Amino acid sequence: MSALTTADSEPAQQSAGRAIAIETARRVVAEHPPTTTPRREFMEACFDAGLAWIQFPKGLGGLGLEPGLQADVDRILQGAGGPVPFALNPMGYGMAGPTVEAHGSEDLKRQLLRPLYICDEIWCQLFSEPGAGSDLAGLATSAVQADGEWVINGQKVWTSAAHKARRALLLARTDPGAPKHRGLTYFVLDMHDPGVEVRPLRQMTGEAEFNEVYIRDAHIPDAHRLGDVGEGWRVAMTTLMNERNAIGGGSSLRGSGSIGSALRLWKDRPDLRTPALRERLLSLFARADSSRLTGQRHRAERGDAAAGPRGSIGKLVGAELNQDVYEFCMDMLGIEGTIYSGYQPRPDGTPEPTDGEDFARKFLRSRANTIEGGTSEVLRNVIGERLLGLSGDIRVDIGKAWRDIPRG
Amino acid sequence: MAEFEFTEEQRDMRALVRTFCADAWPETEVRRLMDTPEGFDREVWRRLGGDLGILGLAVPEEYGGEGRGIVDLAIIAEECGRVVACSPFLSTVALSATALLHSADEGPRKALLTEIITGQKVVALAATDASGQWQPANGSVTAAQVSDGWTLTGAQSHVIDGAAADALLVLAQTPSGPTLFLVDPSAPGVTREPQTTLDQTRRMAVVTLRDAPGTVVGAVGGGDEAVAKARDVGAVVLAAEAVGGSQRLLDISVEYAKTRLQFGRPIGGFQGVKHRCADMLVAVEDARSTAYHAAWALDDDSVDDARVAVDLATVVTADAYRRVAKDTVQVHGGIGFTWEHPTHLYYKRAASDAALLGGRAAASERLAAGVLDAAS
Repeated sequence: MSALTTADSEPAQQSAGRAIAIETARRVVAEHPPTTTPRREFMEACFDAGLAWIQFPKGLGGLGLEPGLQADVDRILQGAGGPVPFALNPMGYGMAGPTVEAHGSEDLKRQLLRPLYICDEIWCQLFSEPGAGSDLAGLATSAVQADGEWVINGQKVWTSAAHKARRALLLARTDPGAPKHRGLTYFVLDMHDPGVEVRPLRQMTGEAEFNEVYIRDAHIPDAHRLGDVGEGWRVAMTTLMNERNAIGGGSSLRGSGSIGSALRLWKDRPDLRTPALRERLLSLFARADSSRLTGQRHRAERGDAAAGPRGSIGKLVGAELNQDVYEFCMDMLGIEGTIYSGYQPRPDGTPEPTDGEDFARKFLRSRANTIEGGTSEVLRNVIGERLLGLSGDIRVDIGKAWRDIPRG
Repeated sequence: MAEFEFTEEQRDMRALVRTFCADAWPETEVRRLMDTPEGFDREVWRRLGGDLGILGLAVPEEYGGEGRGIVDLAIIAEECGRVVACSPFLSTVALSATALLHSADEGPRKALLTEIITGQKVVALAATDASGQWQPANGSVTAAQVSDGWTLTGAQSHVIDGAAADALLVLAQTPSGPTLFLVDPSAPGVTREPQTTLDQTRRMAVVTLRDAPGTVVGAVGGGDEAVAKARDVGAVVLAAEAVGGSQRLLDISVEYAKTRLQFGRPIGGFQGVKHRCADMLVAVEDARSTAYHAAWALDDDSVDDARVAVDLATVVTADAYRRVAKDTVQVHGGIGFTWEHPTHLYYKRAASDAALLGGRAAASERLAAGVLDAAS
């Protein structure tokens, strides 16, 4: 039997949990109508009611129910006009929250989760480095212990939201003499530390969504370590699996996301239609909708199970689909697609607001989809090795001390 | 019942059917049945109806069925697809029983349904034309009213299990519109000629009628609607079979990739093979989602527009099955192309299924008309 067939769950218990989740969400919406309540106040109410991450313990933003029920809750909260926490604080809500909850001390959870959810503190993720992308465990940023603190030095890259983040998930090397996966430790870094310098990194779209982060003698108290010293890789896995789930989770609405843009273009521009484009769009629609349904099915089947390698499926498909959809749109637009809305980034690095879809920008941006959050090659390895049990790639770094492995 | 969440009862049934299938249709038996005149084993069919009682799952209790739904049929179909079962499940249960249920006519319906449910009778739905096109606007069989009833004349090709069937449900043209008739294959004027099918595990035949007697089933002029309902259920059964078949191919491909050594290591460790297997898994996962979704949509119209859900399932599962089948040949190398290896049984079924009941092309066209053109 495939490892992917339905996870066992207790139907009766499940429906009781669903009733509690739905009733709580309805109560919060009734008591704090999101259209008239200030956003922060509404989010505080959601957190305190346990609707932030439904699977978290009570008091920490959750109700101890199944993670799959979050979708039911979100439909109610967002359906009433409530904010989308993932959009406001993507690294924080999608990755930092679950990681802190899984590996942080009780004090740390109490200190960090609430300001994270209500967006008092935006988060970023300091993982990738110029010399360590897909081979994340090869990273060089060092953390050295001194007087009950850690002193951090190194350079990170591709850091979304670093320019507005108050806190960062940081993976750093604490033992260069250990094999690369063993010498890592995981921290929560205060981005206001004087040793942290953020420089925007301009990408091919002209925007600067990402940053380079230079860290020179930044300090982290030992209490802000997640997991044991040398156990950073294991903690990072929690983050990465949640990242792929968050990116690949997709929408539960047919025709939303990039395929929705293509469908609107088709609808709005009958003058540009051809039979060949129609066939191509239909095929893209079928891919998008089946992937959407797979996301729904996996959430329904997941039950109590934590985020796992199955999240890689949605991320892989979504990334490649986005690229194909925007290539389709560019083909459909023809000569119109060759004019760009503007290459000047706004001061905060976010995209220029534009009228309509801005397909050329999305087309360019989509090239990053198969790289960011795990390249498609690495995701296919994850699926092949972790879901299908095929053997790993040939490795020349196994068992060697990190400092003895060639890098570049 | 929330979508994608199977009940305990359904999970038990799946396990039961899986065991039955493994026992009834090991590869050796599939290969033996391929060479028999009917292409399936009537005793096994009766056990499915009698011992297991699963042929009437989607038939209301008042007709002796279980009164459950298409999701249950999909579970059975998926398990049958896993072993390329040789059985008249598609023709008799998915198509004929559904067409009967949607023809308001108590007499022949009740008697025939009982015999279908118990596995006593195999029934074929003949709703093609002389060239095998599914449910054509102008069919090639015409019904004429005579003093004591109706006679039918014309020919239909690609009738699934047409040669083995104990009864034929024939869609024929009448002055009042397309109508479903019950035809006794042993009646004068009926000839049936088996066709040599690409997929030897699923038989088809040419049915020729020359003034053959037929009994009206349901309303005169109401045949198209009954056949359309049958096609929807048939399409979901094909989709679910494709899921089972492609899952099985993925399983054997992965097994082979783990054990076959080249250059001193398992071939599954090479990214060329590993990534192909990963893509196969993605295809199977998406196929499974659309097949289940279509089944749920047929059972509960609040889930989705059934038209879109069924056609989406046809397009996605047909593509996935063919893709996984051809990748399975590739992963296995030369052995995957041999007669001895099971892959070709699945590969041929994938190719054949993609053309049945109007096929992937028609489903894709309906989907385009519904989703793209309708939005304009």
